[in-house]
Amino acid sequence: MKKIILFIGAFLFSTLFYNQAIGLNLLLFSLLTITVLFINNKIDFKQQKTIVYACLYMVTGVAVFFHDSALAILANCIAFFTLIGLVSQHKSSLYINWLNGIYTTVAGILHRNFTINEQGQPVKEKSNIDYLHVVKIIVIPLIILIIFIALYKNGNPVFNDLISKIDFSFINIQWVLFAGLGYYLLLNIHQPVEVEPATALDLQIGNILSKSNSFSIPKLKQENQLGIILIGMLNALIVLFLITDISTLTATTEIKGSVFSAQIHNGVNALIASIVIAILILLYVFRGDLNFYDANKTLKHLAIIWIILNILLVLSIATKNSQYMYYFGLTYKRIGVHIYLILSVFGLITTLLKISSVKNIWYLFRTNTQIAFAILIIASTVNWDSLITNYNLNHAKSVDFKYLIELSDNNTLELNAQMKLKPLNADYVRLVEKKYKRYTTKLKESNWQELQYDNFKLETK
Amino acid sequence: MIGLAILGFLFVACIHFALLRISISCMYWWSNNSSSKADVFKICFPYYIITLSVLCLTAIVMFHFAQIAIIYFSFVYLTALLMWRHDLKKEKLQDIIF
Repeated sequence: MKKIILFIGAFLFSTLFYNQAIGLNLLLFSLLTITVLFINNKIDFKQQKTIVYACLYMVTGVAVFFHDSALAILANCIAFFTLIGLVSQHKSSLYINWLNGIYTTVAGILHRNFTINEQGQPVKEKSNIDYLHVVKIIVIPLIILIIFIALYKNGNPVFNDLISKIDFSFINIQWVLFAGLGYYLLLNIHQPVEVEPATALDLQIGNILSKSNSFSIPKLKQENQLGIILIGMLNALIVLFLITDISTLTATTEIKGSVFSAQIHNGVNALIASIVIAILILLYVFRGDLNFYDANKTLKHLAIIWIILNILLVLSIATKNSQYMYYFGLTYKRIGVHIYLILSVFGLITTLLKISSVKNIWYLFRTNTQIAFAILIIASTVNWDSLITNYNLNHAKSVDFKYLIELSDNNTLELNAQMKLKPLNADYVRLVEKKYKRYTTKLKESNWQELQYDNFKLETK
Repeated sequence: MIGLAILGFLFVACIHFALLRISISCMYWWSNNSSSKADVFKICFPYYIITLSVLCLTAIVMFHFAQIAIIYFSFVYLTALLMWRHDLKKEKLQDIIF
């Protein structure tokens, strides 16, 4: 039964992807993957976590169908590995899920054949297959079936028409090889495997930091003094910087494009680096026994103040970036800065939690990878090209029209709609019309596997 | 011309076979403390095959999904899998004999 499902899956895989662009097929493949995993791992699908991750995987598949963006495809691939890794071991961290997911996808079958299960399950020895019998039960009935079809075709014109309509011309050697690839992929993933000892180690290591055997009060006293001086000075520096920064932000009334652009690009890069270094310094200072030193209160307070001041710094960068967006419109780079700042805030908050609740570095890795994954899934559901086009044409003070034209096809319908509402330069109108014509022709020529939401939008027009 | 092509194909095949054999043998030499090939397989194979897959995929993308590149790098990947399988099977047989 399981083999039949894998064969059907392989047939569907080749039908969906052979010589096709990405569209509806990735959504259907997501559904196929979940079905194969569910049939072979029913117990795992009783876990709420597995159901949530399966839903997230489907969400990315739907996102690909709605707007065929590279980000949505990337999110779909990562969600695919995450789900497979989760089915292999639902208690492990997200990064171990990715490792298990990738390993299962590339070599799950070989691993299952040659590794003895740690829980004492022996490797199943394959029974000898009588290949001659297999050939007999496939070939003989097939030949007789073909002969009878030929006979019945002559006996009934309706049956003849029906048989003539069946078209297997799409099947060729490459199609069969592609189906073989699909079969291999599904065979690998249908029972996910674990990478050892990485998974076992991950399960052993908790989130709480423990005191080491070399706990030495004089050494910790020195470290504490160094930490207080270092973080105290950095606090003073960041306060000074924030005062000057906020005064510049409030005093600036007139914005000069080139000056503002240079200031943002240089400043933001430096500040982003400073936040990363800040987190690294805190991780170094609170890496071990200093967390258990009784007289570390001052250092902890200083560290918490520094984190809060760094969050203020992030807000100041976000304000500058927002101003930049307001005047010059949205771009991928500017949105990327905002996403980076959101990640930084979460990074700083989790560092604060690590220090206050005496957690280890693995806690930071686990929490932050989950946050990054969640942000990736959320970001993949947004049609950024359309959003950028809509914002820039309706809200931004100045528009770089060339940039909008150069974006992917996802903003074509939006551009065309906006063109009818706003008076535009004749050159730009020509460019939009050219893009619209090319995109609609592509949509009309697409097969059912390549269908996108825009196909339906176009039909309803 | 055909002879030259066959000779070229054989040369490339020999080179790729030798490189894969050396890379797999390096895994065994590197973990010489492990008691059996199954242990080496358990510890090293996942990272080996993931790295190889990533390299093969990168190469296919770099060659713009050219058919010859897809065939060649799929062949590299499959050969590596078969070599590991051969090593493990050989050890299993030795375990049964002795």
